[in-house]
Amino acid sequence: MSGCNGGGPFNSFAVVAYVPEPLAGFIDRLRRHLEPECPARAHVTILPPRSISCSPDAAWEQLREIIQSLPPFCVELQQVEIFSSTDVIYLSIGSGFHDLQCLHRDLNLGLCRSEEAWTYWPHITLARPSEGNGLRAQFDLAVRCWSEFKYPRSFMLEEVTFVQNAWGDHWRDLERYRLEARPVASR
Amino acid sequence: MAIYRVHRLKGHLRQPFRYAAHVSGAADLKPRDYSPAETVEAATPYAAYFAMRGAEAPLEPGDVLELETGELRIFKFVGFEEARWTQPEPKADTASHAQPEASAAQLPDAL
Repeated sequence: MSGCNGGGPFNSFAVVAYVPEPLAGFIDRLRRHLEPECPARAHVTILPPRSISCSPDAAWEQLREIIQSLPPFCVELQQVEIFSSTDVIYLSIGSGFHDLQCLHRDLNLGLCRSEEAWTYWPHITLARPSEGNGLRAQFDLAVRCWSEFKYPRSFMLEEVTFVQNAWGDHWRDLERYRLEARPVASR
Repeated sequence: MAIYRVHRLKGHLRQPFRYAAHVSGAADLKPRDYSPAETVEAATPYAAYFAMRGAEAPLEPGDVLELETGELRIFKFVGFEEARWTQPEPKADTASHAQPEASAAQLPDAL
């Protein structure tokens, strides 16, 4: 994955949910087209990149405590938008937006607490601007491709992954947790 | 192509808007916070944004685009979102003391 900060130092960790197929293939192809060098897999960032002052194991233990109480939930992708402060082109999220905000709030605590550079706004990045890369053309292309996407535009967020920045924009998966639907207790 | 009327957020409100927490959903706007400005012809709100991007007065976060149908789109840091004008609520004391005026439909036929 790559974060909004364009990667980061080695001591940089994040929590993401990878997007499943067929959305993943579409988003990855579009992103490679818009940003050929980008190695990111299609994902929703849950906890943006941050440095931690403890071991990754300790951070994950804390994160997992919170994540394990969470059932899977639906994330619906809506439309192509632009963050006006950074010119990042992204897919907005409808259903699931509030769940992601709540999850971010719950995870951004204790060992993993960090002041976010930007207000947390769940999304899927499609392209980050670079010098002279034609924002308008990229945006128009993303809008057109998204309008032609003929498969379901929502997915169940069922797995959460703890990742670490390895080098540049390259991230490696450290841990993952599969969310479980829990039966409602009956009387 | 559609014609969008630009409504500019008043200058003293730009800083508070910048630091206000982002919330999703349709934004409630007070007409008194805006000044009507130029119109722009464009296919979509983003097309209007790009058309104005290099202009003397580009669209800034907080500004609003109004379609001829009255639909509003507010330009935020996260892109365009739906918005609507809020109607000022009537003052409670004025409402309680006001004498209701009879409408033509309420007047007896004899009058």
